[in-house]
Amino acid sequence: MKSRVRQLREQFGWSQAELAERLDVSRQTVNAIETEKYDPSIKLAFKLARLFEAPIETIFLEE
Amino acid sequence: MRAPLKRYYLRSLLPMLAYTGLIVLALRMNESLQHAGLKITLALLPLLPLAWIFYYYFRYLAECDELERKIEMDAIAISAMSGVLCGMALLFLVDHALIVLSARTLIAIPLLALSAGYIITRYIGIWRFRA
Repeated sequence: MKSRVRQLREQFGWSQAELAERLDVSRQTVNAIETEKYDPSIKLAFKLARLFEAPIETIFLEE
Repeated sequence: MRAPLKRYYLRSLLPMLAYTGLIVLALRMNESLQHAGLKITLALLPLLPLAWIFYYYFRYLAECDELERKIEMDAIAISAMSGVLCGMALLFLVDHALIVLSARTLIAIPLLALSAGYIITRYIGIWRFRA
């Protein structure tokens, strides 16, 4: 799955560590989502959508 | 190191010490005991702190985030498979009289394979998803 998490995080001016703290996950998890090594669960995807104030389908794109 | 893992390591210290102490105690005292029931109790007593560590491990799993839990679950699955495969391989070899092993070795080798499988797979998982 294509992820726009890095782009959105940078737009918000957050570091990976800051985003990880807001999501209550490890930085390793944020990095794995950004580098598309790991697809997050629906619950985490919704959390990201709420944080970035964007619909899930604009954050994660099916390849 | 994330807080849940640090907590798990710290919480495990006391049961780990108790486990080591009970193993030493059982080895030292079991020969001097006469009553079979006491001998069995003393021999099995180290299982209690081991179960205590497993309890903390389950708590750690509950505190993990989803990627950390995936890494742990993958490691548990692969270590269980490697333990079973190793155990079955040894059983087949013993059944066909190709090797002769004591019951102790027959159990210890799959347990070692299981532990090694867990450690290796866990570190591969951490390396694969490294930040």
